[in-house]
Amino acid sequence: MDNLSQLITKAKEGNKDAFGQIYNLFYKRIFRYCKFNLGNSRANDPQDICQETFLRAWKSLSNFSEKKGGSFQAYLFRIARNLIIDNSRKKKEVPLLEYQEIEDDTDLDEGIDKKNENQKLKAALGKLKEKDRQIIILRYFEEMTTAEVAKTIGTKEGAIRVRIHRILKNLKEIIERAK
Amino acid sequence: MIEEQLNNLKKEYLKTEMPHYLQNYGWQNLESRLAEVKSPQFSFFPKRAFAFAVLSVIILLISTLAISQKSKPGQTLYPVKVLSDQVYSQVTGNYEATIEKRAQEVIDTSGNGESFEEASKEYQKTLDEAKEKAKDENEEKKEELRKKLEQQEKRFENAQKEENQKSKNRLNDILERTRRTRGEVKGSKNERREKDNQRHDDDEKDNNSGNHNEDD
Repeated sequence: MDNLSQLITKAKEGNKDAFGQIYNLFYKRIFRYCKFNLGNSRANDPQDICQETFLRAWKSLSNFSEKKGGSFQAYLFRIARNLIIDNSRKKKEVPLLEYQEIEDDTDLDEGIDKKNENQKLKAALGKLKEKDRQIIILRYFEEMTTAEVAKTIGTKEGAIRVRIHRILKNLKEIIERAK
Repeated sequence: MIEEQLNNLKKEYLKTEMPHYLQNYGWQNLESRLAEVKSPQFSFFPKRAFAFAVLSVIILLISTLAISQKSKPGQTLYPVKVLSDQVYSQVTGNYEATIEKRAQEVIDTSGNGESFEEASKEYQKTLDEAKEKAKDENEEKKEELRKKLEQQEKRFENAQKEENQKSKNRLNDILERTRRTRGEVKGSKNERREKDNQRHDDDEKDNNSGNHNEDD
Protein backbone atom coordinates (compact mmCIF):
# COMPACT_ATOMS: atom_id res chain seq x y z
CA MET A 1 0.00 0.00 0.00
CA ASP A 2 1.62 3.30 -1.03
CA ASN A 3 1.58 6.51 0.95
CA LEU A 4 -1.44 8.00 -0.83
CA SER A 5 -3.45 4.82 -0.29
CA GLN A 6 -2.65 4.93 3.42
CA LEU A 7 -3.70 8.57 3.60
CA ILE A 8 -6.96 7.78 1.79
CA THR A 9 -7.70 4.91 4.18
CA LYS A 10 -7.08 7.14 7.19
CA ALA A 11 -9.14 9.99 5.70
CA LYS A 12 -12.00 7.55 5.11
CA GLU A 13 -11.91 6.79 8.81
CA GLY A 14 -12.44 10.49 9.46
CA ASN A 15 -8.80 11.51 9.97
CA LYS A 16 -8.63 15.18 8.97
CA ASP A 17 -4.84 15.38 9.20
CA ALA A 18 -4.55 12.66 6.60
CA PHE A 19 -6.99 14.53 4.39
CA GLY A 20 -4.90 17.67 4.96
CA GLN A 21 -1.88 15.86 3.55
CA ILE A 22 -3.94 14.77 0.54
CA TYR A 23 -5.01 18.38 0.12
CA ASN A 24 -1.38 19.55 0.11
CA LEU A 25 -0.52 16.96 -2.51
CA PHE A 26 -3.24 18.02 -4.93
CA TYR A 27 -4.48 21.55 -4.32
CA LYS A 28 -2.02 23.24 -6.69
CA ARG A 29 -2.98 20.95 -9.56
CA ILE A 30 -6.68 21.34 -8.93
CA PHE A 31 -6.35 25.12 -8.68
CA ARG A 32 -4.46 25.56 -11.96
CA TYR A 33 -6.89 23.21 -13.69
CA CYS A 34 -9.78 25.36 -12.48
CA LYS A 35 -7.93 28.56 -13.32
CA PHE A 36 -7.10 27.44 -16.86
CA ASN A 37 -10.68 26.42 -17.49
CA LEU A 38 -12.30 29.50 -16.00
CA GLY A 39 -9.91 32.22 -17.16
CA ASN A 40 -9.07 35.36 -15.25
CA SER A 41 -12.36 37.17 -15.52
CA ARG A 42 -13.73 35.62 -12.33
CA ALA A 43 -11.09 36.35 -9.77
CA ASN A 44 -12.24 34.13 -6.92
CA ASP A 45 -14.01 31.36 -8.81
CA PRO A 46 -11.00 29.05 -9.38
CA GLN A 47 -10.05 29.32 -5.72
CA ASP A 48 -13.62 28.70 -4.54
CA ILE A 49 -14.07 25.76 -6.89
CA CYS A 50 -10.74 24.31 -5.77
CA GLN A 51 -11.88 24.41 -2.12
CA GLU A 52 -15.33 23.08 -3.01
CA THR A 53 -13.69 20.17 -4.89
CA PHE A 54 -11.93 19.01 -1.71
CA LEU A 55 -15.04 19.56 0.38
CA ARG A 56 -17.06 17.32 -1.95
CA ALA A 57 -14.24 14.80 -2.11
CA TRP A 58 -14.33 14.58 1.71
CA LYS A 59 -18.11 14.22 1.72
CA SER A 60 -18.16 11.37 -0.76
CA LEU A 61 -14.86 9.75 0.16
CA SER A 62 -16.69 6.60 1.23
CA ASN A 63 -17.79 6.12 -2.40
CA PHE A 64 -14.21 6.12 -3.65
CA SER A 65 -12.63 2.70 -3.86
CA GLU A 66 -9.13 1.90 -5.08
CA LYS A 67 -10.05 -1.77 -5.05
CA LYS A 68 -12.47 -1.09 -7.89
CA GLY A 69 -9.61 0.39 -9.89
CA GLY A 70 -10.28 3.96 -8.83
CA SER A 71 -7.59 6.57 -9.32
CA PHE A 72 -7.69 9.28 -6.68
CA GLN A 73 -6.49 12.04 -8.99
CA ALA A 74 -9.12 11.03 -11.55
CA TYR A 75 -11.70 11.13 -8.71
CA LEU A 76 -10.62 14.67 -7.71
CA PHE A 77 -10.41 16.02 -11.26
CA ARG A 78 -13.81 14.57 -12.02
CA ILE A 79 -15.35 16.48 -9.12
CA ALA A 80 -13.50 19.65 -10.20
CA ARG A 81 -14.67 19.25 -13.79
CA ASN A 82 -18.30 18.87 -12.71
CA LEU A 83 -18.04 21.99 -10.57
CA ILE A 84 -16.48 23.94 -13.45
CA ILE A 85 -19.33 22.85 -15.74
CA ASP A 86 -21.93 23.89 -13.10
CA ASN A 87 -20.19 27.23 -12.64
CA SER A 88 -20.04 27.87 -16.39
CA ARG A 89 -23.73 27.05 -16.76
CA LYS A 90 -24.63 29.49 -14.01
CA LYS A 91 -22.46 32.33 -15.24
CA LYS A 92 -22.44 31.60 -18.97
CA GLU A 93 -19.26 30.20 -20.35
CA VAL A 94 -16.25 32.48 -20.69
CA PRO A 95 -14.13 31.52 -23.67
CA LEU A 96 -10.57 30.50 -23.04
CA LEU A 97 -9.49 33.50 -25.11
CA GLU A 98 -10.22 35.68 -22.12
CA TYR A 99 -7.66 33.78 -20.18
CA GLN A 100 -4.90 36.24 -19.38
CA GLU A 101 -1.45 34.94 -19.67
CA ILE A 102 0.58 34.96 -16.54
CA GLU A 103 3.65 37.09 -16.73
CA ASP A 104 6.63 34.84 -17.01
CA ASP A 105 10.33 35.37 -17.19
CA THR A 106 10.93 33.58 -20.48
CA ASP A 107 13.89 34.86 -22.41
CA LEU A 108 12.94 37.67 -24.80
CA ASP A 109 14.28 36.05 -27.98
CA GLU A 110 12.05 33.02 -27.73
CA GLY A 111 9.37 34.72 -25.69
CA ILE A 112 7.40 36.64 -28.33
CA ASP A 113 7.00 33.76 -30.76
CA LYS A 114 6.08 31.36 -28.02
CA LYS A 115 3.52 33.74 -26.62
CA ASN A 116 1.92 34.13 -30.02
CA GLU A 117 1.87 30.40 -30.51
CA ASN A 118 0.40 29.84 -27.09
CA GLN A 119 -2.29 32.45 -27.70
CA LYS A 120 -3.27 30.78 -30.96
CA LEU A 121 -3.32 27.38 -29.33
CA LYS A 122 -5.42 28.67 -26.46
CA ALA A 123 -7.83 30.21 -28.93
CA ALA A 124 -7.99 26.89 -30.75
CA LEU A 125 -8.57 25.02 -27.48
CA GLY A 126 -11.38 27.46 -26.72
CA LYS A 127 -13.09 26.44 -29.95
CA LEU A 128 -13.10 22.76 -29.03
CA LYS A 129 -16.04 21.03 -27.36
CA GLU A 130 -15.81 21.12 -23.57
CA LYS A 131 -15.11 17.40 -23.29
CA ASP A 132 -12.40 17.49 -25.96
CA ARG A 133 -10.74 20.45 -24.27
CA GLN A 134 -10.67 18.58 -20.95
CA ILE A 135 -9.15 15.52 -22.59
CA ILE A 136 -6.27 17.62 -23.92
CA ILE A 137 -5.72 19.45 -20.63
CA LEU A 138 -5.75 16.26 -18.59
CA ARG A 139 -3.63 14.22 -21.00
CA TYR A 140 -1.02 16.82 -22.02
CA PHE A 141 -0.92 19.33 -19.17
CA GLU A 142 -1.73 17.11 -16.21
CA GLU A 143 0.06 14.14 -17.77
CA MET A 144 -2.65 11.68 -16.87
CA THR A 145 -2.71 8.21 -18.41
CA THR A 146 -5.48 7.55 -20.93
CA ALA A 147 -7.12 5.29 -18.33
CA GLU A 148 -7.21 8.16 -15.82
CA VAL A 149 -8.51 10.60 -18.43
CA ALA A 150 -11.23 8.08 -19.28
CA LYS A 151 -12.22 7.84 -15.61
CA THR A 152 -12.28 11.60 -15.18
CA ILE A 153 -14.34 12.16 -18.30
CA GLY A 154 -16.51 9.11 -17.71
CA THR A 155 -15.84 7.16 -20.89
CA LYS A 156 -13.88 4.11 -22.08
CA GLU A 157 -10.11 4.11 -22.38
CA GLY A 158 -10.15 2.91 -25.98
CA ALA A 159 -12.51 5.72 -26.94
CA ILE A 160 -10.14 8.28 -25.38
CA ARG A 161 -7.18 7.05 -27.47
CA VAL A 162 -9.15 7.38 -30.68
CA ARG A 163 -10.56 10.71 -29.60
CA ILE A 164 -7.16 12.23 -28.76
CA HIS A 165 -6.00 11.48 -32.28
CA ARG A 166 -9.04 13.24 -33.74
CA ILE A 167 -8.81 16.22 -31.38
CA LEU A 168 -5.16 16.84 -32.29
CA LYS A 169 -6.06 16.74 -35.97
CA ASN A 170 -8.93 19.13 -35.30
CA LEU A 171 -6.68 21.49 -33.32
CA LYS A 172 -4.18 21.56 -36.17
CA GLU A 173 -6.90 22.45 -38.65
CA ILE A 174 -8.27 25.24 -36.44
CA ILE A 175 -4.79 26.76 -36.08
CA GLU A 176 -4.17 26.45 -39.85
CA ARG A 177 -7.45 28.16 -40.64
CA ALA A 178 -6.60 31.01 -38.25
CA LYS A 179 -3.30 31.74 -40.06
CA MET B 1 4.26 19.98 -34.34
CA ILE B 2 0.98 20.29 -32.44
CA GLU B 3 2.46 18.20 -29.61
CA GLU B 4 5.34 20.63 -29.40
CA GLN B 5 2.94 23.56 -29.21
CA LEU B 6 0.98 21.80 -26.48
CA ASN B 7 4.22 21.23 -24.63
CA ASN B 8 4.98 24.96 -24.75
CA LEU B 9 1.53 25.82 -23.48
CA LYS B 10 1.97 23.23 -20.75
CA LYS B 11 5.00 25.16 -19.46
CA GLU B 12 2.83 28.24 -19.16
CA TYR B 13 0.07 26.17 -17.53
CA LEU B 14 2.46 24.81 -14.93
CA LYS B 15 3.60 28.33 -14.04
CA THR B 16 0.11 29.28 -12.91
CA GLU B 17 0.52 31.48 -9.89
CA MET B 18 -1.04 30.27 -6.66
CA PRO B 19 -3.09 32.86 -4.79
CA HIS B 20 -1.56 33.91 -1.51
CA TYR B 21 -4.71 33.04 0.43
CA LEU B 22 -4.88 29.49 -0.94
CA GLN B 23 -1.23 28.84 -0.24
CA ASN B 24 -1.30 30.11 3.32
CA TYR B 25 -4.83 29.63 4.57
CA GLY B 26 -6.33 27.16 2.08
CA TRP B 27 -6.22 24.11 4.34
CA GLN B 28 -7.14 26.11 7.44
CA ASN B 29 -10.23 27.39 5.65
CA LEU B 30 -11.13 23.94 4.37
CA GLU B 31 -10.56 22.24 7.73
CA SER B 32 -13.05 24.57 9.41
CA ARG B 33 -15.59 23.75 6.70
CA LEU B 34 -15.00 19.99 7.04
CA ALA B 35 -16.29 20.21 10.60
CA GLU B 36 -19.72 21.16 9.21
CA VAL B 37 -19.76 18.09 6.99
CA LYS B 38 -20.46 14.55 8.13
CA SER B 39 -17.25 12.54 8.44
CA PRO B 40 -16.77 9.93 5.67
CA GLN B 41 -16.74 7.10 8.25
CA PHE B 42 -20.33 7.91 9.17
CA SER B 43 -21.48 7.71 5.60
CA PHE B 44 -19.82 4.33 5.06
CA PHE B 45 -22.97 2.90 3.49
CA PRO B 46 -22.60 4.08 -0.11
CA LYS B 47 -25.62 5.66 -1.77
CA ARG B 48 -25.54 3.16 -4.61
CA ALA B 49 -25.55 0.20 -2.24
CA PHE B 50 -28.45 1.75 -0.36
CA ALA B 51 -30.41 2.33 -3.57
CA PHE B 52 -29.66 -1.25 -4.63
CA ALA B 53 -30.87 -2.58 -1.27
CA VAL B 54 -34.10 -0.57 -1.50
CA LEU B 55 -34.67 -1.73 -5.07
CA SER B 56 -34.06 -5.36 -4.08
CA VAL B 57 -36.59 -5.12 -1.24
CA ILE B 58 -39.18 -3.57 -3.60
CA ILE B 59 -38.61 -6.34 -6.19
CA LEU B 60 -38.86 -8.99 -3.46
CA LEU B 61 -42.12 -7.49 -2.18
CA ILE B 62 -43.64 -7.30 -5.65
CA SER B 63 -42.61 -10.90 -6.44
CA THR B 64 -44.01 -12.16 -3.13
CA LEU B 65 -47.27 -10.36 -3.79
CA ALA B 66 -47.47 -11.76 -7.31
CA ILE B 67 -46.74 -15.33 -6.18
CA SER B 68 -49.12 -15.06 -3.21
CA GLN B 69 -52.03 -14.38 -5.56
CA LYS B 70 -51.95 -18.04 -6.57
CA SER B 71 -51.84 -19.36 -3.01
CA LYS B 72 -54.73 -21.24 -1.39
CA PRO B 73 -56.01 -21.33 2.20
CA GLY B 74 -53.61 -23.24 4.42
CA GLN B 75 -50.58 -22.29 2.37
CA THR B 76 -47.74 -20.10 3.67
CA LEU B 77 -48.37 -17.14 1.40
CA TYR B 78 -52.15 -17.16 1.83
CA PRO B 79 -52.10 -14.51 4.62
CA VAL B 80 -50.12 -12.23 2.25
CA LYS B 81 -52.78 -12.66 -0.40
CA VAL B 82 -55.56 -11.91 2.11
CA LEU B 83 -53.71 -8.87 3.40
CA SER B 84 -53.12 -7.46 -0.09
CA ASP B 85 -56.80 -7.96 -0.97
CA GLN B 86 -57.80 -6.32 2.28
CA VAL B 87 -55.63 -3.29 1.52
CA TYR B 88 -57.03 -3.12 -2.02
CA SER B 89 -60.63 -3.23 -0.73
CA GLN B 90 -60.02 -0.60 1.93
CA VAL B 91 -58.24 1.76 -0.45
CA THR B 92 -60.67 1.44 -3.36
CA GLY B 93 -63.82 0.75 -1.31
CA ASN B 94 -64.52 -2.17 -3.64
CA TYR B 95 -65.29 -5.28 -1.58
CA GLU B 96 -67.15 -7.11 -4.34
CA ALA B 97 -64.04 -8.57 -5.99
CA THR B 98 -62.62 -9.69 -2.65
CA ILE B 99 -65.92 -11.29 -1.60
CA GLU B 100 -65.97 -13.20 -4.88
CA LYS B 101 -62.40 -14.44 -4.37
CA ARG B 102 -63.00 -15.53 -0.78
CA ALA B 103 -66.28 -17.26 -1.79
CA GLN B 104 -64.46 -19.21 -4.49
CA GLU B 105 -61.85 -20.30 -1.94
CA VAL B 106 -64.64 -21.50 0.37
CA ILE B 107 -66.11 -23.59 -2.44
CA ASP B 108 -62.69 -24.95 -3.45
CA THR B 109 -61.83 -26.03 0.10
CA SER B 110 -65.23 -27.37 1.15
CA GLY B 111 -63.80 -30.90 0.96
CA ASN B 112 -60.86 -30.12 3.23
CA GLY B 113 -61.71 -29.32 6.87
CA GLU B 114 -58.60 -27.38 7.88
CA SER B 115 -58.32 -25.24 4.78
CA PHE B 116 -62.06 -24.71 4.83
CA GLU B 117 -61.84 -23.35 8.38
CA GLU B 118 -59.32 -20.71 7.29
CA ALA B 119 -61.18 -19.89 4.07
CA SER B 120 -64.54 -19.51 5.85
CA LYS B 121 -62.95 -17.37 8.56
CA GLU B 122 -61.50 -15.01 5.96
CA TYR B 123 -64.76 -15.01 4.01
CA GLN B 124 -66.68 -14.04 7.16
CA LYS B 125 -64.15 -11.31 7.90
CA THR B 126 -64.57 -9.90 4.41
CA LEU B 127 -68.38 -10.00 4.75
CA ASP B 128 -68.19 -8.11 8.07
CA GLU B 129 -65.88 -5.47 6.63
CA ALA B 130 -68.05 -5.01 3.55
CA LYS B 131 -71.16 -4.73 5.74
CA GLU B 132 -69.53 -2.09 7.95
CA LYS B 133 -68.36 -0.14 4.93
CA ALA B 134 -71.84 -0.34 3.35
CA LYS B 135 -73.36 1.47 6.34
CA ASP B 136 -71.78 4.73 5.16
CA GLU B 137 -72.55 4.16 1.48
CA ASN B 138 -75.52 5.33 -0.62
CA GLU B 139 -78.39 3.09 -1.67
CA GLU B 140 -76.86 2.32 -5.05
CA LYS B 141 -73.71 0.90 -3.48
CA LYS B 142 -75.72 -1.09 -0.95
CA GLU B 143 -77.74 -2.58 -3.78
CA GLU B 144 -74.54 -3.55 -5.60
CA LEU B 145 -73.31 -5.35 -2.51
CA ARG B 146 -76.62 -7.11 -2.03
CA LYS B 147 -76.52 -8.28 -5.64
CA LYS B 148 -72.98 -9.54 -5.18
CA LEU B 149 -73.99 -11.46 -2.06
CA GLU B 150 -76.98 -12.90 -3.89
CA GLN B 151 -74.65 -14.12 -6.62
CA GLN B 152 -72.48 -15.82 -4.02
CA GLU B 153 -75.53 -17.50 -2.52
CA LYS B 154 -76.37 -18.94 -5.96
CA ARG B 155 -72.78 -20.12 -6.36
CA PHE B 156 -72.91 -21.87 -2.98
CA GLU B 157 -76.26 -23.46 -3.87
CA ASN B 158 -74.85 -24.72 -7.16
CA ALA B 159 -71.70 -25.97 -5.47
CA GLN B 160 -73.76 -27.84 -2.89
CA LYS B 161 -75.38 -29.86 -5.64
CA GLU B 162 -72.00 -31.24 -6.69
CA GLU B 163 -70.55 -31.97 -3.24
CA ASN B 164 -70.87 -34.81 -0.70
CA GLN B 165 -72.94 -34.46 2.47
CA LYS B 166 -70.11 -33.17 4.68
CA SER B 167 -69.17 -30.47 2.19
CA LYS B 168 -72.84 -29.68 1.67
CA ASN B 169 -73.27 -28.98 5.38
CA ARG B 170 -70.21 -26.75 5.42
CA LEU B 171 -71.41 -24.80 2.41
CA ASN B 172 -74.87 -24.56 3.91
CA ASP B 173 -73.40 -22.85 6.94
CA ILE B 174 -71.59 -20.37 4.71
CA LEU B 175 -74.74 -19.85 2.64
CA GLU B 176 -76.63 -18.96 5.82
CA ARG B 177 -73.98 -16.48 6.84
CA THR B 178 -74.08 -14.82 3.41
CA ARG B 179 -77.86 -14.51 3.57
CA ARG B 180 -77.68 -13.07 7.05
CA THR B 181 -75.14 -10.47 5.91
CA ARG B 182 -77.24 -9.60 2.88
CA GLY B 183 -80.18 -9.06 5.21
CA GLU B 184 -78.08 -6.87 7.45
CA VAL B 185 -77.06 -4.55 4.60
CA LYS B 186 -79.94 -2.21 5.40
CA GLY B 187 -81.65 -0.10 2.79
CA SER B 188 -85.03 0.85 1.36
CA LYS B 189 -85.26 -2.43 -0.46
CA ASN B 190 -84.47 -4.30 2.72
CA GLU B 191 -87.95 -5.48 3.46
CA ARG B 192 -88.38 -6.96 0.00
CA ARG B 193 -85.09 -8.75 0.45
CA GLU B 194 -86.09 -10.16 3.79
CA LYS B 195 -89.29 -11.48 2.27
CA ASP B 196 -87.19 -13.08 -0.48
CA ASN B 197 -85.01 -14.68 2.15
CA GLN B 198 -87.99 -15.94 4.09
CA ARG B 199 -89.45 -17.46 0.96
CA HIS B 200 -86.12 -19.03 0.14
CA ASP B 201 -85.84 -20.54 3.63
CA ASP B 202 -89.33 -21.98 3.36
CA ASP B 203 -88.48 -23.53 -0.01
CA GLU B 204 -85.37 -25.07 1.45
CA LYS B 205 -87.24 -26.51 4.44
CA ASP B 206 -89.71 -28.08 2.05
CA ASN B 207 -86.86 -29.54 0.03
CA ASN B 208 -85.12 -30.89 3.12
CA SER B 209 -88.28 -32.52 4.45
CA GLY B 210 -88.81 -34.00 1.00
CA ASN B 211 -85.28 -35.39 1.05
CA HIS B 212 -85.79 -36.87 4.51
CA ASN B 213 -88.95 -38.52 3.35
CA GLU B 214 -87.08 -39.96 0.39
CA ASP B 215 -84.29 -41.18 2.73
CA ASP B 216 -86.89 -42.82 4.92
